[in-house]
Amino acid sequence: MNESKESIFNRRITRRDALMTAGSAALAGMMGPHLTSRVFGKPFQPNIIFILTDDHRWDALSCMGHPFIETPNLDRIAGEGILFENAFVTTSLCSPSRASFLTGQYAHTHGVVTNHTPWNNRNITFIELLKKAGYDTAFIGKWHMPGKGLPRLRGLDHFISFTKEGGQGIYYDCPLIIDGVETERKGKYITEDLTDFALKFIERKRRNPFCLYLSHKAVHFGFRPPKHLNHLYDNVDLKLPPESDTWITYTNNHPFVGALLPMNFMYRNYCETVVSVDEQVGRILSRLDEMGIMDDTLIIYAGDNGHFWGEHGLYDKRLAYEESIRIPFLMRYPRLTRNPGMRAQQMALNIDLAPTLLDIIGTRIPTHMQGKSLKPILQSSHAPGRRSWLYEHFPVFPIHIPGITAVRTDSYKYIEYQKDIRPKELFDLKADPREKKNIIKTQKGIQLAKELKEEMEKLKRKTGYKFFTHG
Amino acid sequence: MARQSFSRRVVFPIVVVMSTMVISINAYDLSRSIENRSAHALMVHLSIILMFASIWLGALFANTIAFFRGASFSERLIVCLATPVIWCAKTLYHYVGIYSTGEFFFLFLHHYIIGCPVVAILCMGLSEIWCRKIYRQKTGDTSVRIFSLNNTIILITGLSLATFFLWNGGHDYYYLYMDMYSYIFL
Repeated sequence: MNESKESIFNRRITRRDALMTAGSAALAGMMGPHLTSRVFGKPFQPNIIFILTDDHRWDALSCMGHPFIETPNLDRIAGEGILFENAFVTTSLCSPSRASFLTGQYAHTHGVVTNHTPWNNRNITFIELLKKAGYDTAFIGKWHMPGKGLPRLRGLDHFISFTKEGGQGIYYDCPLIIDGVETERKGKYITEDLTDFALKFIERKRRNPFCLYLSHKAVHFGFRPPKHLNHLYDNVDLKLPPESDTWITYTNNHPFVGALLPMNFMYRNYCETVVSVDEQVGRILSRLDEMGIMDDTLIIYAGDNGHFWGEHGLYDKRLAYEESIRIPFLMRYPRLTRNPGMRAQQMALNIDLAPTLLDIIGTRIPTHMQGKSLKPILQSSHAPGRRSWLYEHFPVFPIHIPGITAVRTDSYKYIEYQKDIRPKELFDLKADPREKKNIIKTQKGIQLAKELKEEMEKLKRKTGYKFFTHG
Repeated sequence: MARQSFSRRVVFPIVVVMSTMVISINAYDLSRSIENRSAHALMVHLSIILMFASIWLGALFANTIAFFRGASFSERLIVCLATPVIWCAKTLYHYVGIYSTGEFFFLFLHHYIIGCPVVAILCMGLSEIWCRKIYRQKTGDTSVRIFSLNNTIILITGLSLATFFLWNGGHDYYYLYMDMYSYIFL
């Protein structure tokens, strides 16, 4: 012992030793702070913050060119990260889409096919897998999947959610279930309240990386902004599409959706509520900056589905048109993103989230996940995207929209309805992005429909599609 | 009050209200293709007023016409319910083939479906009040009571059911309805 001590501490340092030590230190410095991950091949495990909003459509962001909504914080995520301009949900409805984000699976696989079909707790979420990979985990916000109360989700350290109004929650005074304890939240505005809990979780002292799933009620109906933003857009021209009008919510069976208020009034409130989400995202970004962990954190922002505001004479979502299925999908992770501010054109899906997260942290992607990792696209704008994907919708009582299957490619969309209740549709998305001309009966359309139908059947077989008659 | 022919006392009021509904619905749908914003707005607002008045409040007008043309109480009831029933049928038509037969019939209990004829009954009860009042003033015939048994039953039934189904925009009933749906069908 003594000998060895002497040999270490009393040894003379030669010039060679000094050079070797300095060289090693320089090399380690050049390799950055994640030496072990680079040497041993295990990627750095970033903190993960996934923020999910409700009904936030893809273009209700200033970075997507919205005429008046200002979202500087979401724009920052896009500007310093990557904005998927062609991001979609495989089912445009809250519960199925949320389950798809969590499981990386289509609705017909995870089984939450409508807002009435219960969550099966045998489903494996990415949160569970991240926990196994050593993450501290928290689910804060809207769960909104049917079943008796909240499930006992595996892999969660903290579960803060609500069951008020069938899990939809309310904007003010929404009681929360905090790790199993129902708690009144008098005077609290829900987006801010959930963000407060998120910040507490982020700020906690820890050894492990964390995964925060922050899921807002906003910007769902009743579209209620906080008091300081109320009337923000009272005097702006809403610039709604020409076929839109304020009474759409009262006509063509839209009352069955359950929003009996003038549409223009709701749209103003919707836009103001989007701003409130942006403000709360800003609080999280600022705190990450202050804590110095911004670049160690992967931030993802997405909406669970789109929303019609009069396009096609429609209100709400569910249908396979672009306004309904496209979502905002932003990621910021400078360690991977080679071109900050990149706008990816590859088609990304909600089912891609789970495999992407697992891929980024270097965990094996389970074979039951049906999405694809977007990591290659984060690393290179030239990474190949998918050629086509399957959209599915199942009837949701008491809504009059039949079951839908559709296939979307970069250029075309082919839509079929349950029992052909409505005529099949085919749109040329490049020539007609607003999907106003159904070209299925044109000469070009007949041939294309045949090919796209084959593609749809192929995707159905590949994903094990089955139709659920009702939910 | 002179009892006019069946077509004048029953068919005519139905046709007036129902044709207003049909024209306004088509005008509203047509308005979407009008590119001039002012013309579009004018068409939309006008057609929506007529649509709402004919579907939900049509019984006020139909019953008044039928009353002064000598229609009996049961005829007036038919006159008042005709347009709402046709509107409900039109609405339900969009559901054909989507859900099971049981679910389809359960839709009849949805507040927008059942609410429409219920409001028509309420409107009939309200219009009976002024019709009877005007009749008494005009003819001096005090044997016609403003609150007859039939009218009182109609008024109370319409008011209580409309309140039950449509209170708070139907929000409260909707959750009850969906709980019933889940219990029966899921």
